[in-house]
Amino acid sequence: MKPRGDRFTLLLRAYPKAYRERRGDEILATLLEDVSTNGTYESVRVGIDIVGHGLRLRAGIASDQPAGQVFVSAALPGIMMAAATAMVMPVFGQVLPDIRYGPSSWGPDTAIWPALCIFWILGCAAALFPKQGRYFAAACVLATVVVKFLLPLGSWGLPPGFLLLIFLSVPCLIAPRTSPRRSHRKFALLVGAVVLGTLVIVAVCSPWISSGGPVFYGEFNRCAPYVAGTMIVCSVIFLATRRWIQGSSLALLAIPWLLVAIVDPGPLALSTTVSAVSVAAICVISVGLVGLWFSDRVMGHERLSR
Amino acid sequence: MSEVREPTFLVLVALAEGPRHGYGLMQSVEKLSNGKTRLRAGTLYATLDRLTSEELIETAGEEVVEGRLRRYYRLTESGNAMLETESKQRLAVAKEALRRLRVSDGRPPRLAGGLA
Repeated sequence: MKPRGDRFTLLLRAYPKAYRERRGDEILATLLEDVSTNGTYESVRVGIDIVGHGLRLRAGIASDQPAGQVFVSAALPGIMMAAATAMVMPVFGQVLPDIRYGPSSWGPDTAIWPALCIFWILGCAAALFPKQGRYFAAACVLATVVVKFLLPLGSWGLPPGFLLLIFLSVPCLIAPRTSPRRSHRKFALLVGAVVLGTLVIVAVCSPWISSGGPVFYGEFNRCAPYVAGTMIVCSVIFLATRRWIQGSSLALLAIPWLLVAIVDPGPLALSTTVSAVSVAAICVISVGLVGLWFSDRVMGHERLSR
Repeated sequence: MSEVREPTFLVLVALAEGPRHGYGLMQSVEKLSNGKTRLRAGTLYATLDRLTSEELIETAGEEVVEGRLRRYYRLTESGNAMLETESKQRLAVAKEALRRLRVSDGRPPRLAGGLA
């Protein structure tokens, strides 16, 4: 077994090299003094703390922005996305089975639906709490990507749009702290401009692509109605609950997806989007109203009685 | 100047007594907070980096003890001023809280709705 010093030296590699050269010996000395009186469990926590901060330093995330804050910012829209998407998808499978895409039979992919009910409830509950995050748009994007991976979207694979959004969101997440609203607006505009630009290129190249070009165009098209529907529903909820920044950024992000759904050569794309938005909106708003009532009556009462 | 979080405030308070090195700061912070706040090395050095970049603290010297490097930190003038302002602000809030609770003069707190 390696001595503690060696193990900590290994962990310190999480920090950028320049920082390690400047501060490495000092941190190592502090670590050794700190854990000399503590057990293995504390050593593990100290190790996690070091690696976490090292990686954040590499990523350029400010030290006054706790990792948990980023997670929460991403989790809320993530839950929202999951909730709305989870509502949209079964509708296609069960209520509208003739629609081209979406789960139509019970299988490993669809077996996860009952678990997603929890996401529905949590998503609606999350919508009730105000959250003004300056990295919200980036968090939305990351959350969408996470949801895309988590939800059983069959054989859709990873459309290039998601990859594009990942690349767009990372600079925003690690951007230095400036005026929140200004940076947010800039980011939203950037996303809109770049995604729209990409769509124009895709649209211009579509004859070539559809005649045997890369497969990703098909993947990109297929998920567009669902993604657009999800985003629009979430956007409406945010706007209805006076979360203007979140609502407007999601609406902006939904535009390119909606355009893709509309320009999709398939005959059902537009009606699919409209159906998805309508059904999901009714479900989400209904549950949201119940949630609002619940939070006002029950939770409010609890707060007062403490 | 960003919002002063509790760990940052405790680090500044610990340094108000004199220069401290990393482990010394961790101990001071734990003691000041009655064991409620325990800074780990990663968090501590992230805080020190930020305070240094904001010129609230500076390096006060180095020494090697048992083959281990110790770097000492101390408050700068602006760090002193900031700590004083922040402390007065916190004290004012705490005094106001006590005044509203009416516990400072030994009387029980008044309940809302005129029940007291």
